[in-house]
Amino acid sequence: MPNIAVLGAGIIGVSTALNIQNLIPSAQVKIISEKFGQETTSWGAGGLFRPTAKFIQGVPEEKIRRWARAGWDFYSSLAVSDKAKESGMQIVSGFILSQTKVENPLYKDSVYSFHEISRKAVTELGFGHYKYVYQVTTVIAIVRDYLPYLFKRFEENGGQTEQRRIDDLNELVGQYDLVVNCTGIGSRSLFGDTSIFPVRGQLLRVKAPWIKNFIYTEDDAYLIPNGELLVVGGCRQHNNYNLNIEASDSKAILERCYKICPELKGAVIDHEWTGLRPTRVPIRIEKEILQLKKGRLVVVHNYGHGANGISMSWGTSMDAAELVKDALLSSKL
Amino acid sequence: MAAREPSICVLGAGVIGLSSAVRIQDEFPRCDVTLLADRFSPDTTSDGSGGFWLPHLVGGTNQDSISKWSASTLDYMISLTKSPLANQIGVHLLSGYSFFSEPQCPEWRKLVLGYREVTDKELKLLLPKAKFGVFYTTVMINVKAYLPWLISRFKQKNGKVIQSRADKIEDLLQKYDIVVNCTGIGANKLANDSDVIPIRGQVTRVKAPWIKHFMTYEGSDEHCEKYILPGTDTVVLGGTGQRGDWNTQIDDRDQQMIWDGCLEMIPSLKHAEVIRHWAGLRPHRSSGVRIETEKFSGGKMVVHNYGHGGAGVTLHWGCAGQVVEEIRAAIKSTVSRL
Repeated sequence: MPNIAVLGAGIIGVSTALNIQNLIPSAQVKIISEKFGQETTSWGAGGLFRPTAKFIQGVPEEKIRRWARAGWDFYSSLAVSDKAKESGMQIVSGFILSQTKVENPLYKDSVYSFHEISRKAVTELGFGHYKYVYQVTTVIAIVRDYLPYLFKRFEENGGQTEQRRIDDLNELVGQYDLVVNCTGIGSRSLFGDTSIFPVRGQLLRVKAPWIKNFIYTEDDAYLIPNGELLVVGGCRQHNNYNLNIEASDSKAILERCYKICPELKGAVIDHEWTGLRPTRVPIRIEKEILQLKKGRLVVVHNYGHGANGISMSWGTSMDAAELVKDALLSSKL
Repeated sequence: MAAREPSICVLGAGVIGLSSAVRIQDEFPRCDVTLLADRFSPDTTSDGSGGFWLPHLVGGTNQDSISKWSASTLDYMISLTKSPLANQIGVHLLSGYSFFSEPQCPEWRKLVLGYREVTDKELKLLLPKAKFGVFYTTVMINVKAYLPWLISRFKQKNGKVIQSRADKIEDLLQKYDIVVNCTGIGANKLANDSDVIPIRGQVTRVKAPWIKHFMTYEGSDEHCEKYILPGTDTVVLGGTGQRGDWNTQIDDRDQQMIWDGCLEMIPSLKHAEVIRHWAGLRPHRSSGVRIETEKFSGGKMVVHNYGHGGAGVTLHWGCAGQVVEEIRAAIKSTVSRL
């Protein structure tokens, strides 16, 4: 009975732990993390499924497509089931506004639909200042429902948890057959990976139940319905570790969003949030055998998802679980 | 007729009456306009309706009129959805799916935004029992917010509001030069129009904020279309279409049928909290919407605007525009006879 520790309880950690349980039912899996639930980076994410190749650099396109496809199959099946409310998976339509043509995006094969709309409709919708407008039907994960939903499945399968900050990997040597690293930005200090860096994001969640469509641009203006609340974002500040809410960021975000969504006026702000997208080129999913002071540690990495954590969580976790299975098999030889 | 501005009374304060009153004020700013009704929001037929724009159950109204009035209404509603006051006004854009047991080619496909047929993938994933489906974007109105907004517009321009029941339209002609009859189902008695009969509709409103699309299904074997319409605060589940049924009490069997039909479309609705039920009478007229001027002695007239069936919200702004044209033409011909 293999004894596995998954470090990190964000969307990647919990998804990976669950996939390991699915793939290796005999495994005893424990999630070890300093932060859980609302303290994780994942908690505040908008959850819109729209993975774009150009923001997942360093990974071959067919691999990204495979991850996107696997994620889509899982999320969309939840979204049409009677588990839609519990799992936080919503089917939502919306508009992607761009000044450049969006050619054959990764998600085109996955999502329900992706179409350019007529210029007349573009004008009526108030998006006339954008050259290209696409209407898309996809899924949105309400992370504050989805993450607990996965966590519950994990615990029902016999998974264990430990609230603990690991500062030295030597603490884990000899304790577990294999350690899975899903610590996101934490990998910088814990594993000495200086190639991972934060891209700071800030967003607001407001009460605007009359807004049923998402609107997404690459100009740091997006609106993503999340159940009873609407996510209004955002910003991308490279190498910024600041976890305080900046009033100037919120003000700028609202101004940008009022331009593409005048009907947002009058929405009451529920709360603001900031998170550090753990960005790495490429996303690291691989096995590593570390020779530490106390001994040998077999590690499978799954971190560095940047702005695509939610979208890519299920697909990359499936790959990571396969690596875990292979690693356990090869260590028996 | 004296060379003064005619005094106008709009009878009825549902979506037809209020929009008529507002458009008349806008077009004839020098006329005194009075709104007279026995019931106001939230107690009108309009208030209980889904508020969804879609030409539906319009009897024999000719297609050109339906297209003209519904297009005018939709264009106006879409422009309101992009206003900073959208929530106060109670209008929002809504995308979603309409499924059928047979292929369709509705006239309104040219009017809604982004109309397209669904792919086999969508059909299989969303409603396998359907044979055909379309996706489009339209507007939904929160009538309980929209009617108060129209009334406040009316009052701001010095419109007078009287709560009273009119037993005979002709009595009102003693006090007013023009009466606009927007009494909906009441026209059966008031206009002595036996062609106006109710098509009863029952709905259930639930709390289900995770639902962001509308979904409708019209099957050949179904007694009536089933629909799921996410509004601002609640999701409207419907419906029924019982011709000649005047009952506004909630029917338990209808309630169960609506629930079962909607859960088949969106299974997660089973976790939705039920807020309230409602039954109302669509004022259907088999020969279609009646917008017509009836002339009386002394230059007085009644302009009828009733019989909108299941399309009151869908047609209201265009029909109010038509009433304005009727009044303009009638005033012109009256004046030219002097």
